[in-house]
Amino acid sequence: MKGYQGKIALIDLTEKTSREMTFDDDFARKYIGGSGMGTYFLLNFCTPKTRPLSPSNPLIFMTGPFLGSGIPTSGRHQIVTKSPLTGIFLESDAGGSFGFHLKRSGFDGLIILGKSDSPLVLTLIDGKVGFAEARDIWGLDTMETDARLRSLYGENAGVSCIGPAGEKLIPLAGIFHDGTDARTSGRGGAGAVMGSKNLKAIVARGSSVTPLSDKKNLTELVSKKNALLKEKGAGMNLYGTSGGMSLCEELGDLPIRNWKQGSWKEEVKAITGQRMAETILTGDYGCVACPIRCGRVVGIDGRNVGGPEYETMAMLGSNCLVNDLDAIARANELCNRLGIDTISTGSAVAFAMECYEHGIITEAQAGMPLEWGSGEVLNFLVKKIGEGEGIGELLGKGTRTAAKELGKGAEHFAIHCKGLDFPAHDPRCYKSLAAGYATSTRGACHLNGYSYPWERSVSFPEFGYNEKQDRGADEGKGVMNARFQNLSSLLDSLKMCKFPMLLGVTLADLGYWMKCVTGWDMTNEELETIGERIYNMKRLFNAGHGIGRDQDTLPERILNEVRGTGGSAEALPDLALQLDEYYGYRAWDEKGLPTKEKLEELGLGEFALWLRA
Amino acid sequence: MTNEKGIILKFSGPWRTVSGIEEYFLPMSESITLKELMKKIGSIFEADPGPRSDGFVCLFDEHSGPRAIRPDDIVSPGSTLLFLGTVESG
Repeated sequence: MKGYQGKIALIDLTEKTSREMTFDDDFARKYIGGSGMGTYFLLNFCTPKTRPLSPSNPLIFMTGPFLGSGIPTSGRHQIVTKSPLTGIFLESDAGGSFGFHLKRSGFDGLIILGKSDSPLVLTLIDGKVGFAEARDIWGLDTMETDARLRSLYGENAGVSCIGPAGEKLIPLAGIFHDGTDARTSGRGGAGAVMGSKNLKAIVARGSSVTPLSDKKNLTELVSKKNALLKEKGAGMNLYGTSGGMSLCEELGDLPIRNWKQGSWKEEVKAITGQRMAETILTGDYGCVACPIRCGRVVGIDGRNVGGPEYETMAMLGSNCLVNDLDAIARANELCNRLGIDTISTGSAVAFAMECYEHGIITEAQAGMPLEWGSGEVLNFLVKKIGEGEGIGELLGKGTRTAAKELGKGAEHFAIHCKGLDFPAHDPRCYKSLAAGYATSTRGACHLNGYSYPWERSVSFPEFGYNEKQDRGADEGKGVMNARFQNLSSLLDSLKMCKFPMLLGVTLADLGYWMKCVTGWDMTNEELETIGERIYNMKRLFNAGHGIGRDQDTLPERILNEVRGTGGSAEALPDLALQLDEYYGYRAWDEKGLPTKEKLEELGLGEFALWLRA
Repeated sequence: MTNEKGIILKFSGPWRTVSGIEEYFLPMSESITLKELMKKIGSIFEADPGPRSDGFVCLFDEHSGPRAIRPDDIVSPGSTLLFLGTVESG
């Protein structure tokens, strides 16, 4: 078998046992890896009744066929589980090097079940699974944990771990990789699932290389594409993703004052990637096999740590009216050390500030006045959330739950879909994000469909988008979403970053690379169908949890409130129009659910029971 | 291929909209500051890409990658200059 190890480790933490599951070419060609295989195993090992923090909730780590091949940006891995934040499907992808080490350890993925009776480190070394005590590292932050484990297992190991927030089962907790560089599976609370299993960390190391079908051709092609990506991605290399802050502000994309304000023209200049490059930037960081290197390294009190990328800068910054770069960088480091998602944390801070403004949260409750724009308040609340203390205990449950508990109209300030807080792109600016966020399988997510770049600056002729699409139009956006959701599912299964698709990599390139890696001839149509299959599987999991059209909606503020200023001052999305078009294209029924016929067509008949769950 | 001395200019985003082309070879035998070069480019294309130009021009070498430059920095013949489009904010 080419491109794969052909083995998944099935691990029972309760019994501290493991066994290997093997798979063949047919299975691999159908589900690919990453998101696809992860969702397949979730459908098989989880039920609608499984509680997210129970031992029976599987925590799945998956790599992809491209990993280890040198294909640009293919050094990623996917974590799949049921979310304790939303109660539905969760996948959380990360870059860095952990996926590379996991695959080199001899496994394409891990399925972790059960719960250890004491803190544990799981080791995967040269094809062998081991269990080591973790009492002495329980309580350490993610960077301390990484350093301690590397001192034991060597620098050439991959470390994936949780921080104190994951140990305390805080629903905003993520899983962190690569220590100070902080590559993160941040969204949806996978860190709490890991904590619920008493699993502090996973260490992977090995030298098992997967064979490739046509290494010579692949090497030549990769070399050419790397040169192209280096050039086209020069802006991301120089300024990181937060190099786009000013443009996002100009277009009305940037979240400002908890998604209420339309412009912040002068203030934003203090928190851009360009400003970072002039001040605190000390280096850049690239994931395995990435020629772009958009990761930031910043200096804080003499420490070189991962710096804020766009989502973090916007959610901890403009969304809270904080334009203090130093305060944001410190809050980012605090999130990374404690092990919480910067996006949902920023959303929770802005939510708390607005609740305070309206008297729903008092100074006595909060511990200090929660004034907009204060870097001190930002860092105070981040610490409280990450430690699960004081007002942080409430905010760490996510804005949906916090709003319910607070009442008094706080729901209006909770900006989420299905419990997952909005990331930092606005559907009033890029209309495709309306159906995108509403139908995204993990809740509000810009990467689930990743449609908006094609409304901003780039074309995608293979889908018939020969020029950038009108970002203000609703028509056509349902179809656009469905197609890019399928593409994203494919990329999340191959385990590639999405940036190359903006910089000149095509669907045909993916097919050619697949041939070089696996030997399979794959047409664009087959690749798209694989993406569609995987997307339907995720929707099916959610259908089993009562998700359908009624839940595919957006917050009132986004649907009905114009901001009055900025680059999208009067814009509102027509969600109903987009959804009709979206379900129609997907051939789902009027309730927004996959039909039996569609499942059969995609080879998913075995999962039809989920529709009746 | 040409032996003529000059600078390769590569345009993306708003720069490409203004220039209408992806790549342009500007013959030049002497070094020049970026500020002076921008004036030349402005007169060639009779337009200005606007305020978004701040920080969006860099020198590029396929081995060492991009390097940001400031208005007073010198650009030498044989250089490749990238006029960046939007920086992806994903």
